Amino acid sequence: MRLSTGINLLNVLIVLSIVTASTVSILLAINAFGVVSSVRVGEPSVFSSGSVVEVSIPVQISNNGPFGVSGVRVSGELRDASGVIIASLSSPPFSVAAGEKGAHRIMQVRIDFSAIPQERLYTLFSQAGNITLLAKAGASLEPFISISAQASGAVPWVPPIQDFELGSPQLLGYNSTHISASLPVRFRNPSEISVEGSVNALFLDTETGSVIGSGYLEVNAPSNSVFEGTLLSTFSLPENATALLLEARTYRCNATFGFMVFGNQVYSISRPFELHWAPPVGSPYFGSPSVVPHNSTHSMLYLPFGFTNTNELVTLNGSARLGMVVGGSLVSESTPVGISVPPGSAHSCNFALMVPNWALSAPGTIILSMDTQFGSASVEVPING
Amino acid sequence: MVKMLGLELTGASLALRLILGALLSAGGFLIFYYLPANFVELASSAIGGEVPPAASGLLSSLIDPALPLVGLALVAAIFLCAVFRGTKAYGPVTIALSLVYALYVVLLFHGGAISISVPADLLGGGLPFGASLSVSVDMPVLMVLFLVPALLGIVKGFLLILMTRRR
Repeated sequence: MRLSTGINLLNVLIVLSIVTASTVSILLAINAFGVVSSVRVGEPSVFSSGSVVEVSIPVQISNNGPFGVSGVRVSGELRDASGVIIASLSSPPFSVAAGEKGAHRIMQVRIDFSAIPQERLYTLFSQAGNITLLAKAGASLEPFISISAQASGAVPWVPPIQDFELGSPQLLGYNSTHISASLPVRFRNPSEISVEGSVNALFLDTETGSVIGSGYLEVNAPSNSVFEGTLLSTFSLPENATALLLEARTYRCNATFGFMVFGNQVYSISRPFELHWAPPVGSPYFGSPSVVPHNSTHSMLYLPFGFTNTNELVTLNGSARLGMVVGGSLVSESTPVGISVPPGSAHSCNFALMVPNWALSAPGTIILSMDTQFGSASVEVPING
Repeated sequence: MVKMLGLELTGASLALRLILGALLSAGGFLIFYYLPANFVELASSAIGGEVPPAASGLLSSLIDPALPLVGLALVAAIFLCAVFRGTKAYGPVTIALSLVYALYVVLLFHGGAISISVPADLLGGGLPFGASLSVSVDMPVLMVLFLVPALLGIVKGFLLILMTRRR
Protein backbone atom coordinates (compact mmCIF):
# COMPACT_ATOMS: atom_id res chain seq x y z
CA MET A 1 0.00 0.00 0.00
CA ARG A 2 1.34 3.39 -0.92
CA LEU A 3 1.98 5.92 1.84
CA SER A 4 -0.39 8.46 0.36
CA THR A 5 -3.17 5.86 0.38
CA GLY A 6 -2.38 5.10 3.97
CA ILE A 7 -2.53 8.78 4.84
CA ASN A 8 -5.84 9.15 3.06
CA LEU A 9 -7.17 6.16 4.95
CA LEU A 10 -5.96 7.70 8.20
CA ASN A 11 -7.70 10.95 7.32
CA VAL A 12 -10.96 9.06 6.86
CA LEU A 13 -10.43 7.18 10.12
CA ILE A 14 -9.67 10.41 11.97
CA VAL A 15 -12.87 11.99 10.71
CA LEU A 16 -14.84 8.83 11.54
CA SER A 17 -13.38 8.61 15.03
CA ILE A 18 -14.17 12.26 15.74
CA VAL A 19 -17.73 11.79 14.50
CA THR A 20 -18.08 8.56 16.51
CA ALA A 21 -16.78 10.09 19.73
CA SER A 22 -19.04 13.13 19.34
CA THR A 23 -22.08 10.98 18.49
CA VAL A 24 -21.46 8.66 21.44
CA SER A 25 -21.16 11.67 23.76
CA ILE A 26 -24.44 13.13 22.56
CA LEU A 27 -26.21 9.76 22.78
CA LEU A 28 -24.83 9.22 26.28
CA ALA A 29 -26.15 12.59 27.40
CA ILE A 30 -29.59 11.91 25.90
CA ASN A 31 -29.59 8.36 27.30
CA ALA A 32 -28.64 9.49 30.80
CA PHE A 33 -31.18 12.31 30.82
CA GLY A 34 -33.94 9.98 29.60
CA VAL A 35 -33.20 7.34 32.21
CA VAL A 36 -32.97 9.81 35.09
CA SER A 37 -36.21 11.55 34.11
CA SER A 38 -38.03 8.19 33.82
CA VAL A 39 -37.27 7.03 37.35
CA ARG A 40 -40.35 6.68 39.58
CA VAL A 41 -39.83 5.62 43.17
CA GLY A 42 -42.72 3.86 44.96
CA GLU A 43 -43.66 3.61 48.60
CA PRO A 44 -41.00 1.71 50.53
CA SER A 45 -42.08 -1.29 52.59
CA VAL A 46 -40.30 -2.50 55.70
CA PHE A 47 -40.04 -6.14 56.70
CA SER A 48 -38.30 -7.27 59.84
CA SER A 49 -37.48 -10.77 60.96
CA GLY A 50 -35.46 -11.24 64.07
CA SER A 51 -32.55 -8.87 63.98
CA VAL A 52 -32.78 -8.33 60.23
CA VAL A 53 -34.69 -5.42 58.74
CA GLU A 54 -35.28 -5.23 55.01
CA VAL A 55 -36.47 -2.08 53.33
CA SER A 56 -37.82 -2.67 49.82
CA ILE A 57 -38.12 0.33 47.55
CA PRO A 58 -39.97 -0.30 44.29
CA VAL A 59 -38.49 1.56 41.35
CA GLN A 60 -39.92 1.95 37.87
CA ILE A 61 -37.40 2.88 35.22
CA SER A 62 -37.28 3.13 31.42
CA ASN A 63 -34.25 3.06 29.20
CA ASN A 64 -35.03 4.27 25.71
CA GLY A 65 -31.38 4.89 24.86
CA PRO A 66 -28.91 2.65 23.08
CA PHE A 67 -26.78 1.96 26.15
CA GLY A 68 -27.66 -0.44 28.96
CA VAL A 69 -27.85 0.89 32.48
CA SER A 70 -26.15 -1.41 34.95
CA GLY A 71 -24.92 -1.49 38.51
CA VAL A 72 -27.74 0.66 39.88
CA ARG A 73 -27.19 0.46 43.62
CA VAL A 74 -27.43 2.27 46.92
CA SER A 75 -25.41 1.71 50.04
CA GLY A 76 -24.83 3.45 53.29
CA GLU A 77 -22.84 3.50 56.46
CA LEU A 78 -23.38 4.84 59.93
CA ARG A 79 -20.31 5.71 61.95
CA ASP A 80 -20.14 6.83 65.53
CA ALA A 81 -18.19 9.82 66.85
CA SER A 82 -14.98 7.81 66.92
CA GLY A 83 -15.37 6.80 63.29
CA VAL A 84 -16.21 3.17 63.95
CA ILE A 85 -18.86 1.67 61.67
CA ILE A 86 -22.08 1.07 63.55
CA ALA A 87 -24.09 -0.27 60.67
CA SER A 88 -23.72 -0.68 56.98
CA LEU A 89 -26.33 -1.44 54.40
CA SER A 90 -26.34 -2.07 50.71
CA SER A 91 -28.69 -3.09 47.95
CA PRO A 92 -27.79 -5.69 45.35
CA PRO A 93 -27.18 -3.91 42.03
CA PHE A 94 -29.70 -4.18 39.21
CA SER A 95 -29.61 -3.45 35.49
CA VAL A 96 -31.96 -2.05 32.88
CA ALA A 97 -31.23 -3.22 29.36
CA ALA A 98 -31.20 -0.83 26.42
CA GLY A 99 -34.70 -0.31 25.09
CA GLU A 100 -36.40 -1.72 28.21
CA LYS A 101 -39.47 0.35 29.07
CA GLY A 102 -41.32 0.61 32.38
CA ALA A 103 -39.07 -1.94 34.03
CA HIS A 104 -40.00 -2.68 37.63
CA ARG A 105 -37.16 -3.27 40.02
CA ILE A 106 -37.02 -3.69 43.76
CA MET A 107 -34.20 -1.94 45.51
CA GLN A 108 -33.71 -3.96 48.65
CA VAL A 109 -31.70 -2.62 51.55
CA ARG A 110 -30.86 -5.04 54.33
CA ILE A 111 -29.74 -4.12 57.83
CA ASP A 112 -28.70 -6.80 60.28
CA PHE A 113 -28.80 -5.36 63.77
CA SER A 114 -27.16 -8.46 65.21
CA ALA A 115 -24.05 -7.48 63.25
CA ILE A 116 -23.76 -4.29 65.25
CA PRO A 117 -21.31 -4.80 68.11
CA GLN A 118 -23.06 -4.80 71.48
CA GLU A 119 -20.84 -2.08 72.91
CA ARG A 120 -21.71 0.20 70.00
CA LEU A 121 -25.41 -0.29 70.61
CA TYR A 122 -24.91 0.39 74.29
CA THR A 123 -23.03 3.60 73.48
CA LEU A 124 -25.80 4.68 71.13
CA PHE A 125 -28.44 4.18 73.78
CA SER A 126 -26.46 5.82 76.54
CA GLN A 127 -24.55 8.72 75.01
CA ALA A 128 -25.51 11.74 72.95
CA GLY A 129 -23.26 12.67 70.09
CA ASN A 130 -23.00 12.96 66.36
CA ILE A 131 -23.41 10.03 63.99
CA THR A 132 -21.88 10.29 60.58
CA LEU A 133 -24.15 9.13 57.82
CA LEU A 134 -22.55 8.16 54.54
CA ALA A 135 -24.91 7.34 51.69
CA LYS A 136 -23.76 6.22 48.28
CA ALA A 137 -25.57 5.61 45.04
CA GLY A 138 -24.24 4.70 41.65
CA ALA A 139 -25.02 3.53 38.15
CA SER A 140 -23.18 2.87 34.91
CA LEU A 141 -23.94 3.49 31.27
CA GLU A 142 -21.94 0.59 29.97
CA PRO A 143 -19.23 0.79 28.92
CA PHE A 144 -18.62 4.49 28.82
CA ILE A 145 -19.66 6.23 32.02
CA SER A 146 -19.92 5.22 35.64
CA ILE A 147 -21.51 7.76 37.97
CA SER A 148 -21.46 7.59 41.73
CA ALA A 149 -22.78 10.05 44.26
CA GLN A 150 -21.88 10.21 47.89
CA ALA A 151 -23.61 12.21 50.59
CA SER A 152 -22.23 12.50 54.09
CA GLY A 153 -23.45 14.41 57.06
CA ALA A 154 -23.42 14.47 60.81
CA VAL A 155 -26.70 13.43 62.37
CA PRO A 156 -27.16 14.61 65.93
CA TRP A 157 -27.96 11.58 68.04
CA VAL A 158 -30.02 11.72 71.21
CA PRO A 159 -30.28 8.50 73.23
CA PRO A 160 -33.87 7.26 72.98
CA ILE A 161 -34.15 6.02 76.59
CA GLN A 162 -33.69 8.65 79.26
CA ASP A 163 -34.85 9.22 82.85
CA PHE A 164 -35.71 5.56 83.36
CA GLU A 165 -37.82 5.15 86.50
CA LEU A 166 -39.35 2.26 88.37
CA GLY A 167 -42.51 2.69 90.38
CA SER A 168 -43.63 0.76 93.44
CA PRO A 169 -44.40 -2.87 92.74
CA GLN A 170 -47.86 -4.28 93.36
CA LEU A 171 -48.48 -7.91 94.15
CA LEU A 172 -50.99 -9.41 91.75
CA GLY A 173 -51.29 -13.08 92.52
CA TYR A 174 -49.53 -16.17 93.70
CA ASN A 175 -49.37 -19.90 93.62
CA SER A 176 -47.49 -22.37 95.77
CA THR A 177 -44.15 -21.53 94.15
CA HIS A 178 -44.37 -18.03 92.70
CA ILE A 179 -45.88 -14.65 93.22
CA SER A 180 -46.64 -12.28 90.39
CA ALA A 181 -46.25 -8.54 90.63
CA SER A 182 -46.69 -5.53 88.44
CA LEU A 183 -43.94 -2.96 88.23
CA PRO A 184 -44.60 0.49 86.75
CA VAL A 185 -41.90 1.51 84.26
CA ARG A 186 -41.46 4.98 82.90
CA PHE A 187 -38.90 6.58 80.60
CA ARG A 188 -38.61 9.50 78.24
CA ASN A 189 -37.81 9.16 74.55
CA PRO A 190 -36.54 12.59 73.47
CA SER A 191 -35.03 11.26 70.25
CA GLU A 192 -36.29 11.30 66.70
CA ILE A 193 -36.51 7.52 66.49
CA SER A 194 -39.16 5.35 68.05
CA VAL A 195 -38.35 2.52 70.40
CA GLU A 196 -40.42 -0.51 69.51
CA GLY A 197 -39.65 -3.82 71.10
CA SER A 198 -39.77 -5.30 74.54
CA VAL A 199 -38.14 -5.17 77.92
CA ASN A 200 -36.97 -8.34 79.57
CA ALA A 201 -36.28 -7.91 83.25
CA LEU A 202 -34.17 -10.19 85.36
CA PHE A 203 -34.12 -9.95 89.14
CA LEU A 204 -31.02 -11.21 90.91
CA ASP A 205 -30.79 -11.66 94.66
CA THR A 206 -28.30 -9.09 95.89
CA GLU A 207 -26.82 -11.45 98.46
CA THR A 208 -26.65 -14.73 96.61
CA GLY A 209 -26.63 -13.57 93.03
CA SER A 210 -29.22 -16.16 92.12
CA VAL A 211 -32.14 -15.39 89.83
CA ILE A 212 -35.31 -14.90 91.83
CA GLY A 213 -37.58 -13.41 89.24
CA SER A 214 -38.15 -12.25 85.71
CA GLY A 215 -40.49 -9.96 83.85
CA TYR A 216 -41.61 -8.85 80.43
CA LEU A 217 -43.06 -5.71 78.92
CA GLU A 218 -43.93 -4.71 75.37
CA VAL A 219 -42.56 -1.26 74.54
CA ASN A 220 -43.73 1.18 71.93
CA ALA A 221 -42.33 4.62 72.58
CA PRO A 222 -42.75 6.99 69.64
CA SER A 223 -40.22 9.76 69.17
CA ASN A 224 -40.46 12.68 71.61
CA SER A 225 -42.79 10.87 73.96
CA VAL A 226 -42.96 9.61 77.50
CA PHE A 227 -43.46 5.87 77.84
CA GLU A 228 -45.37 4.50 80.79
CA GLY A 229 -46.02 0.80 81.09
CA THR A 230 -46.40 -1.97 83.59
CA LEU A 231 -43.88 -4.73 83.64
CA LEU A 232 -45.40 -8.04 84.67
CA SER A 233 -42.99 -10.12 86.68
CA THR A 234 -42.93 -13.32 88.62
CA PHE A 235 -40.81 -14.08 91.66
CA SER A 236 -40.08 -17.51 92.99
CA LEU A 237 -41.12 -18.06 96.60
CA PRO A 238 -38.64 -19.47 99.09
CA GLU A 239 -38.95 -23.21 99.56
CA ASN A 240 -38.89 -22.78 103.31
CA ALA A 241 -42.62 -22.52 104.05
CA THR A 242 -42.05 -21.68 107.72
CA ALA A 243 -40.10 -18.58 106.79
CA LEU A 244 -42.63 -17.70 104.12
CA LEU A 245 -45.58 -17.96 106.52
CA LEU A 246 -44.05 -16.43 109.58
CA GLU A 247 -41.27 -14.04 108.56
CA ALA A 248 -41.41 -10.63 107.02
CA ARG A 249 -38.98 -10.51 104.17
CA THR A 250 -37.54 -7.91 101.87
CA TYR A 251 -36.31 -9.21 98.54
CA ARG A 252 -33.31 -7.06 97.76
CA CYS A 253 -32.29 -7.58 94.23
CA ASN A 254 -30.63 -6.01 91.30
CA ALA A 255 -33.08 -5.62 88.45
CA THR A 256 -31.64 -5.63 84.95
CA PHE A 257 -33.92 -4.36 82.21
CA GLY A 258 -32.80 -5.44 78.75
CA PHE A 259 -34.34 -3.55 75.84
CA MET A 260 -34.94 -5.72 72.81
CA VAL A 261 -35.34 -4.06 69.42
CA PHE A 262 -35.83 -6.23 66.33
CA GLY A 263 -35.19 -9.26 68.50
CA ASN A 264 -31.78 -8.06 69.53
CA GLN A 265 -30.87 -6.71 72.94
CA VAL A 266 -29.70 -3.19 72.33
CA TYR A 267 -29.47 -1.73 75.79
CA SER A 268 -29.77 -2.65 79.42
CA ILE A 269 -30.31 -0.70 82.59
CA SER A 270 -29.75 -2.00 86.10
CA ARG A 271 -31.55 -0.69 89.14
CA PRO A 272 -31.64 -1.85 92.76
CA PHE A 273 -35.07 -3.13 93.54
CA GLU A 274 -36.90 -4.18 96.67
CA LEU A 275 -40.02 -6.27 97.08
CA HIS A 276 -41.53 -6.55 100.53
CA TRP A 277 -43.24 -9.71 101.70
CA ALA A 278 -45.47 -9.48 104.76
CA PRO A 279 -46.07 -12.84 106.53
CA PRO A 280 -49.55 -14.37 106.33
CA VAL A 281 -49.04 -15.52 109.89
CA GLY A 282 -48.06 -12.25 111.49
CA SER A 283 -47.59 -11.65 115.21
CA PRO A 284 -48.54 -15.19 116.26
CA TYR A 285 -49.28 -15.62 119.96
CA PHE A 286 -50.34 -18.23 122.45
CA GLY A 287 -52.75 -17.15 125.13
CA SER A 288 -52.86 -18.27 128.74
CA PRO A 289 -53.41 -22.02 128.96
CA SER A 290 -56.09 -23.49 131.11
CA VAL A 291 -56.19 -27.05 132.47
CA VAL A 292 -59.35 -28.95 133.29
CA PRO A 293 -59.09 -32.44 134.86
CA HIS A 294 -60.55 -35.03 132.58
CA ASN A 295 -60.12 -38.26 134.59
CA SER A 296 -57.66 -39.65 137.07
CA THR A 297 -54.85 -39.90 134.55
CA HIS A 298 -55.51 -37.13 132.00
CA SER A 299 -56.46 -33.48 131.90
CA MET A 300 -57.71 -31.23 129.12
CA LEU A 301 -55.24 -28.48 128.21
CA TYR A 302 -56.81 -25.50 126.42
CA LEU A 303 -54.40 -23.19 124.65
CA PRO A 304 -55.64 -20.08 122.77
CA PHE A 305 -53.73 -19.25 119.59
CA GLY A 306 -54.04 -16.26 117.29
CA PHE A 307 -52.32 -14.35 114.52
CA THR A 308 -52.98 -11.63 111.96
CA ASN A 309 -52.64 -12.13 108.24
CA THR A 310 -50.45 -9.12 107.46
CA ASN A 311 -50.02 -10.07 103.83
CA GLU A 312 -51.95 -7.78 101.52
CA LEU A 313 -52.47 -10.43 98.86
CA VAL A 314 -52.73 -13.90 100.31
CA THR A 315 -55.81 -15.48 101.85
CA LEU A 316 -54.32 -18.13 104.03
CA ASN A 317 -56.14 -21.44 103.76
CA GLY A 318 -55.37 -24.68 105.50
CA SER A 319 -55.41 -26.13 108.95
CA ALA A 320 -53.48 -25.93 112.19
CA ARG A 321 -52.96 -28.42 114.96
CA LEU A 322 -51.07 -28.51 118.20
CA GLY A 323 -48.97 -31.29 119.59
CA MET A 324 -47.10 -31.82 122.83
CA VAL A 325 -43.78 -33.63 122.87
CA VAL A 326 -42.14 -34.74 126.09
CA GLY A 327 -38.89 -36.60 126.16
CA GLY A 328 -38.89 -36.94 122.43
CA SER A 329 -42.31 -38.60 122.35
CA LEU A 330 -45.57 -37.15 121.16
CA VAL A 331 -47.82 -37.38 124.18
CA SER A 332 -50.82 -35.46 122.86
CA GLU A 333 -52.18 -33.91 119.70
CA SER A 334 -55.19 -31.70 119.02
CA THR A 335 -57.62 -32.21 116.21
CA PRO A 336 -56.83 -29.96 113.22
CA VAL A 337 -58.52 -26.56 113.20
CA GLY A 338 -59.55 -25.12 109.83
CA ILE A 339 -57.98 -21.83 108.80
CA SER A 340 -59.25 -19.34 106.23
CA VAL A 341 -57.86 -15.89 106.88
CA PRO A 342 -58.28 -13.10 104.35
CA PRO A 343 -55.56 -10.44 103.97
CA GLY A 344 -55.44 -8.06 106.92
CA SER A 345 -57.72 -10.22 109.08
CA ALA A 346 -57.03 -11.66 112.49
CA HIS A 347 -57.56 -15.28 113.38
CA SER A 348 -57.86 -16.92 116.76
CA CYS A 349 -58.73 -20.40 117.97
CA ASN A 350 -58.51 -22.52 121.08
CA PHE A 351 -56.61 -25.78 120.82
CA ALA A 352 -57.73 -28.58 123.11
CA LEU A 353 -55.30 -31.35 124.05
CA MET A 354 -55.87 -34.31 126.27
CA VAL A 355 -52.62 -34.50 128.17
CA PRO A 356 -51.40 -37.13 130.64
CA ASN A 357 -51.24 -35.51 134.07
CA TRP A 358 -47.55 -36.39 134.46
CA ALA A 359 -46.73 -34.44 131.30
CA LEU A 360 -48.26 -31.23 132.54
CA SER A 361 -45.28 -30.50 134.70
CA ALA A 362 -42.58 -32.22 132.60
CA PRO A 363 -40.22 -30.18 130.41
CA GLY A 364 -41.30 -30.55 126.80
CA THR A 365 -42.29 -28.77 123.65
CA ILE A 366 -45.51 -27.49 122.20
CA ILE A 367 -45.45 -27.85 118.42
CA LEU A 368 -47.75 -25.77 116.25
CA SER A 369 -48.11 -27.36 112.81
CA MET A 370 -49.76 -25.58 109.90
CA ASP A 371 -50.68 -27.06 106.55
CA THR A 372 -51.36 -24.30 104.04
CA GLN A 373 -51.32 -23.71 100.33
CA PHE A 374 -47.65 -22.80 100.70
CA GLY A 375 -46.77 -26.06 102.37
CA SER A 376 -46.32 -27.22 105.92
CA ALA A 377 -44.74 -25.14 108.64
CA SER A 378 -44.20 -25.76 112.31
CA VAL A 379 -43.27 -23.70 115.32
CA GLU A 380 -41.88 -25.19 118.50
CA VAL A 381 -42.38 -23.56 121.88
CA PRO A 382 -40.59 -25.04 124.94
CA ILE A 383 -42.69 -25.53 128.07
CA ASN A 384 -41.84 -26.15 131.69
CA GLY A 385 -38.23 -25.48 130.83
CA MET B 1 6.71 31.74 -6.32
CA VAL B 2 7.46 31.24 -2.66
CA LYS B 3 9.43 28.23 -1.49
CA MET B 4 8.34 27.13 1.93
CA LEU B 5 10.03 24.12 3.55
CA GLY B 6 10.41 22.19 0.30
CA LEU B 7 7.07 23.29 -1.19
CA GLU B 8 6.75 25.90 -3.91
CA LEU B 9 3.73 28.08 -3.51
CA THR B 10 2.32 30.98 -5.40
CA GLY B 11 1.50 34.10 -3.48
CA ALA B 12 -2.18 33.41 -3.91
CA SER B 13 -1.80 29.88 -2.62
CA LEU B 14 0.10 31.12 0.40
CA ALA B 15 -2.53 33.73 1.04
CA LEU B 16 -5.22 31.07 0.73
CA ARG B 17 -3.38 28.89 3.26
CA LEU B 18 -3.10 31.81 5.65
CA ILE B 19 -6.79 32.62 5.28
CA LEU B 20 -7.77 28.95 5.72
CA GLY B 21 -5.45 28.71 8.75
CA ALA B 22 -6.96 31.85 10.21
CA LEU B 23 -10.50 30.53 9.68
CA LEU B 24 -9.74 27.09 11.16
CA SER B 25 -7.86 28.56 14.06
CA ALA B 26 -10.68 31.04 14.66
CA GLY B 27 -13.09 28.11 14.91
CA GLY B 28 -10.59 26.28 17.09
CA PHE B 29 -10.20 29.41 19.24
CA LEU B 30 -13.93 29.49 19.85
CA ILE B 31 -14.19 25.81 20.68
CA PHE B 32 -10.90 25.11 22.43
CA TYR B 33 -10.19 28.42 24.18
CA TYR B 34 -13.14 30.77 24.34
CA LEU B 35 -15.68 28.14 25.39
CA PRO B 36 -13.71 26.74 28.37
CA ALA B 37 -12.30 30.14 29.36
CA ASN B 38 -15.78 31.68 29.52
CA PHE B 39 -17.76 28.62 30.48
CA VAL B 40 -19.58 30.19 33.44
CA GLU B 41 -20.49 33.37 31.54
CA LEU B 42 -21.72 31.35 28.57
CA ALA B 43 -23.80 29.18 30.91
CA SER B 44 -25.33 32.37 32.35
CA SER B 45 -26.26 33.51 28.88
CA ALA B 46 -27.69 30.11 28.06
CA ILE B 47 -30.03 30.09 31.06
CA GLY B 48 -30.85 33.75 30.54
CA GLY B 49 -29.84 34.93 33.97
CA GLU B 50 -27.17 35.09 36.61
CA VAL B 51 -25.65 31.74 37.59
CA PRO B 52 -25.81 31.44 41.38
CA PRO B 53 -22.39 31.76 43.03
CA ALA B 54 -22.53 28.14 44.23
CA ALA B 55 -23.29 26.88 40.75
CA SER B 56 -20.61 29.13 39.33
CA GLY B 57 -18.02 27.44 41.54
CA LEU B 58 -19.32 24.04 40.49
CA LEU B 59 -19.14 24.89 36.79
CA SER B 60 -15.66 26.36 37.22
CA SER B 61 -14.47 23.14 38.83
CA LEU B 62 -15.51 21.24 35.71
CA ILE B 63 -12.91 23.14 33.68
CA ASP B 64 -9.27 22.42 34.39
CA PRO B 65 -7.42 25.76 34.85
CA ALA B 66 -4.81 24.69 32.26
CA LEU B 67 -7.42 23.84 29.64
CA PRO B 68 -7.71 27.31 28.01
CA LEU B 69 -3.90 27.59 27.77
CA VAL B 70 -3.65 24.17 26.12
CA GLY B 71 -6.57 25.26 23.94
CA LEU B 72 -4.50 28.25 22.79
CA ALA B 73 -1.62 25.91 21.95
CA LEU B 74 -4.06 23.75 20.02
CA VAL B 75 -5.28 26.79 18.08
CA ALA B 76 -1.70 27.60 17.16
CA ALA B 77 -1.11 24.00 16.06
CA ILE B 78 -4.25 24.08 13.90
CA PHE B 79 -3.04 27.27 12.24
CA LEU B 80 0.40 25.81 11.58
CA CYS B 81 -1.10 22.61 10.20
CA ALA B 82 -3.20 24.61 7.76
CA VAL B 83 -0.26 26.75 6.66
CA PHE B 84 2.38 24.00 6.45
CA ARG B 85 0.15 21.39 4.79
CA GLY B 86 2.24 19.56 2.13
CA THR B 87 5.55 20.91 3.39
CA LYS B 88 8.36 19.10 5.19
CA ALA B 89 7.03 20.52 8.46
CA TYR B 90 3.53 19.09 7.97
CA GLY B 91 4.40 15.71 9.53
CA PRO B 92 5.98 17.12 12.71
CA VAL B 93 3.27 19.77 13.03
CA THR B 94 0.58 17.06 12.65
CA ILE B 95 2.26 15.07 15.43
CA ALA B 96 2.45 18.22 17.58
CA LEU B 97 -1.23 18.97 16.89
CA SER B 98 -2.17 15.41 17.84
CA LEU B 99 -0.15 15.52 21.06
CA VAL B 100 -1.59 18.87 22.09
CA TYR B 101 -5.07 17.59 21.25
CA ALA B 102 -4.40 14.47 23.35
CA LEU B 103 -3.32 16.67 26.27
CA TYR B 104 -6.45 18.77 25.78
CA VAL B 105 -8.67 15.67 25.86
CA VAL B 106 -6.97 14.37 29.00
CA LEU B 107 -7.43 17.74 30.73
CA LEU B 108 -11.02 18.01 29.49
CA PHE B 109 -11.88 14.60 30.97
CA HIS B 110 -9.79 15.23 34.09
CA GLY B 111 -7.79 12.13 33.33
CA GLY B 112 -10.94 10.03 32.95
CA ALA B 113 -12.55 10.72 36.30
CA ILE B 114 -14.22 13.89 37.49
CA SER B 115 -15.10 14.43 41.13
CA ILE B 116 -17.16 17.42 42.08
CA SER B 117 -18.54 18.60 45.37
CA VAL B 118 -22.08 19.81 44.96
CA PRO B 119 -22.66 22.91 47.09
CA ALA B 120 -25.54 22.62 49.55
CA ASP B 121 -27.06 25.86 48.17
CA LEU B 122 -27.73 24.10 44.90
CA LEU B 123 -29.87 21.41 46.52
CA GLY B 124 -32.96 23.44 47.27
CA GLY B 125 -31.98 24.61 50.72
CA GLY B 126 -29.37 21.97 51.25
CA LEU B 127 -29.40 18.40 52.49
CA PRO B 128 -30.63 17.51 55.95
CA PHE B 129 -28.13 17.57 58.83
CA GLY B 130 -25.81 19.80 56.81
CA ALA B 131 -24.78 16.84 54.69
CA SER B 132 -22.46 17.35 51.77
CA LEU B 133 -22.85 15.74 48.37
CA SER B 134 -20.09 14.77 46.02
CA VAL B 135 -20.46 13.21 42.61
CA SER B 136 -17.84 11.17 40.76
CA VAL B 137 -18.01 10.44 37.07
CA ASP B 138 -15.66 7.81 35.68
CA MET B 139 -15.37 7.89 31.91
CA PRO B 140 -12.00 6.50 30.86
CA VAL B 141 -13.52 4.64 27.91
CA LEU B 142 -15.15 7.80 26.59
CA MET B 143 -11.87 9.62 27.02
CA VAL B 144 -10.04 6.91 25.11
CA LEU B 145 -12.63 7.23 22.36
CA PHE B 146 -11.73 10.91 22.06
CA LEU B 147 -8.02 10.03 22.12
CA VAL B 148 -8.32 7.76 19.07
CA PRO B 149 -8.14 10.71 16.60
CA ALA B 150 -4.97 11.89 18.36
CA LEU B 151 -3.42 8.45 18.04
CA LEU B 152 -4.34 8.28 14.37
CA GLY B 153 -2.98 11.81 13.91
CA ILE B 154 0.38 10.80 15.38
CA VAL B 155 0.55 7.80 13.02
CA LYS B 156 -0.38 10.07 10.16
CA GLY B 157 2.37 12.51 11.19
CA PHE B 158 4.97 9.76 11.14
CA LEU B 159 3.76 8.59 7.72
CA LEU B 160 4.02 12.17 6.45
CA ILE B 161 7.61 12.41 7.73
CA LEU B 162 8.37 9.07 6.05
CA MET B 163 6.83 10.23 2.81
CA THR B 164 8.79 13.52 2.91
CA ARG B 165 12.07 11.65 3.38
CA ARG B 166 11.36 9.34 0.41
CA ARG B 167 10.95 12.23 -1.96
